[in-house]
Amino acid sequence: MQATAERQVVGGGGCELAPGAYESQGYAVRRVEVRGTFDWFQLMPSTAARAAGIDLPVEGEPFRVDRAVAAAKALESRLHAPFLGSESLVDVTVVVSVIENCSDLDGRKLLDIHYRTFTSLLTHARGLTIESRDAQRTDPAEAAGTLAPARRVKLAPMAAYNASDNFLAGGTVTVRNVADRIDAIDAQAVASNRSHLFRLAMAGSSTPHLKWLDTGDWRISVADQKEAGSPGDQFSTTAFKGQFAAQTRPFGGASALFRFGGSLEGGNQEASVTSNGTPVDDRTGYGALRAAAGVATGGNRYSAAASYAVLLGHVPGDSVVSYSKQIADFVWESQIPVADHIALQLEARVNAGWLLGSNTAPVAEFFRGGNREESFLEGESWIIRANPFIRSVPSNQLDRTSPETSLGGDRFAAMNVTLSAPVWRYPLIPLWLSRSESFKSGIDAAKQTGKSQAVVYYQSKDPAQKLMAADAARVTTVLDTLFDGLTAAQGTVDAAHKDALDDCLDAADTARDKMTHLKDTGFGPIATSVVPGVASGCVAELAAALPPQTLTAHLQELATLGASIAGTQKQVRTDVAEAKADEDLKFAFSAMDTFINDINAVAVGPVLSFDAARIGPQTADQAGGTRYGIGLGVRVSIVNVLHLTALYAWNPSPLPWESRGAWMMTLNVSDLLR
Amino acid sequence: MPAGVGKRILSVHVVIDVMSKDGLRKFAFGLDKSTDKDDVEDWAIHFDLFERASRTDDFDEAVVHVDVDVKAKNFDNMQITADKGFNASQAESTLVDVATAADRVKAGKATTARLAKAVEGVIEARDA
Repeated sequence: MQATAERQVVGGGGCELAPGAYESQGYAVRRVEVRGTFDWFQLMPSTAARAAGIDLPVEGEPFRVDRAVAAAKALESRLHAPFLGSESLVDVTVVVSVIENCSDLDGRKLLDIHYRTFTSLLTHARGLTIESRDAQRTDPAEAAGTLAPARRVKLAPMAAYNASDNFLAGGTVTVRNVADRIDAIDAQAVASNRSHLFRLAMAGSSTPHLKWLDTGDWRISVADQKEAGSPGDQFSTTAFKGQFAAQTRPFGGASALFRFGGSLEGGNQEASVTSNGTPVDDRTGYGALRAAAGVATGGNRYSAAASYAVLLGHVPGDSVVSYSKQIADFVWESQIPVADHIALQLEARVNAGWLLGSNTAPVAEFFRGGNREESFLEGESWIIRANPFIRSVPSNQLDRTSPETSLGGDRFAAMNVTLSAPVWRYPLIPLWLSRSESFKSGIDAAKQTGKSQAVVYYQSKDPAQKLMAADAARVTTVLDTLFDGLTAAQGTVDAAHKDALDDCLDAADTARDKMTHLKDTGFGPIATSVVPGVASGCVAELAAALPPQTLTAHLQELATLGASIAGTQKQVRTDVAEAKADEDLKFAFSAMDTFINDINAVAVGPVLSFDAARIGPQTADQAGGTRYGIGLGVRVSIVNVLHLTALYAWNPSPLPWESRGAWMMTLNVSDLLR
Repeated sequence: MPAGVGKRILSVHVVIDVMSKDGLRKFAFGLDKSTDKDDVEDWAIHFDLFERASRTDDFDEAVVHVDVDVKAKNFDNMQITADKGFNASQAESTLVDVATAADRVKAGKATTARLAKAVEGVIEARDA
């Protein structure tokens, strides 16, 4: 026990006294608030809603320490209960109760009681892939899988601008938890006077019951999309698509995971462009099979991914595979902490693509670059950039392979670097909480216990366990024989030794039961628990009273076997077990640390960018060869509300058909109904 | 006393659930740190072990449930355990000694006092 007055006071003065002092001095409760760390800017804080029915302190009534703490415990139980049904690797529930604003004005002694909660589900790969890290930053509540959505319907408006498409506005309406295997139905509509995307999609995901697979998801969609390019150019696709994607659990010392996926689609494509002064109007039906594979890896402060994708396309009247596309995409992202809750974020990306069969491929399939990203697969869980991205050129306007020819290219290569950092931020979890010793040690204790369990599991799988198997089997036999002998002796032992015999018999039986609980620990506990348990339960006085073959001989053999197992146990590679446990848990724990120490509720900061891209074929760089872009912009992020990026990128050497640069803006609103 | 912006933590409650590699076991480690009326820190540790036969089954009631009231015992190991959680020896002790005792209590072969002793042994296992 220890007095903790000093270390429990956080955030300055105001409630310096021991909690009991406020109770004994007759303080009353001015205000009670329950808030989750992800409840920012919500119309209806979901955590407070979950507190219904809990016996919280009542405003206006006397402050009582026991009641306030009991309510915190009840809240923890309430929030933790749903996690029992989760399949996540790690989940965590934290509730902190706090008193603040203790005041004594004109005899009115009042204080506030606040309950802060933090809940998170963490999968094996959470925090390893770039997409999962982005999800943590942009919508931490959703990424944390914290609470069941308060509403089934989600409304996420968005807006964007680029010079080709003009101002785009629209959004997505999502109906969640539609059925047992259907997570969501999305209706997306985004349009401007030059382009649009209308898409209806049904999607599901699951944690497959396969040891090596982390998650799998599927998606069926129908979409009508029109994009603008150079003035007057239009590209349209109407398609029905079925898609799946999956990722394995992390494997190997490098903590990599494998991703794979594909889709089957069919529909119509249309391109209306002018090239060499000649209008080209290309309309065709098409079908395509997409397949993609990739590897993602990462550490505490970085993520990297390499993806390869291939598209096999068919147009009517041509061979089964009329054309094909290949995409290679490499991306690196680093978070470099420079100050508290301020990290320099660096993203570098290199991608390239090839189109074979360009003479039969729909014109809409040609590669065109600009300041709008296209992904090979639908959805947010795996982004494979499939076009040359260059922020100094409006969308689809990097389309020339000669000064006159602007149909797009049959190959491209691009490189992009983006640097950003918040210069003003407000942490998601308040600093007074994340820095408090009680909170930190509670989290550390929970993490260490999780790791210890994993270490014990890996120790049980160590090859040295096999060396102990014969001794362990013999221990079981000896215990059975001992138990039978002691049972038989119950009828013959004198009254003076009856209690000792009962204790010994109980110890032997307990030891036999312990032997059935070793599958999760290996045989080590035979030496540390099973044999010592029998030895302490069977006293020497009893041994002397029984025939040697009934007790003494067995105790001696058990001691010998225990010593042998203890010796072999030293061969168990604890260091290897710890390394494997670290490997299993590091991303889950890292993701937890990110929530606690890195993520901001509000952040504003500059964005710098550098891009280089080219499409081909270009004889002697007729269309300018590699084009460049140098950008400067701003990023505003408000958790649960919006994420805005606005940037202008300069073209350092504009050609006659190019502008001096381009504006781009994206605004995503998380969920208006949250 | 004027109103201040200072905060005083009354209690911290942490529960972490970790799924075993094979997906058949889940354990929950809970730690409650609270302050009583006399500003003395009080710790309680909870441990639950859940098992299922197949990954397609749901976890039902805990097969092992351990509550340790740290305030009642002023041992260094308890303070370390409250600050740092279970180490591997304590995890082993929980999976073997406490699980066995819990099973025996359920089967009517042991008393709850025996289970309490096994729980106490988890704290002592810090030195093992």
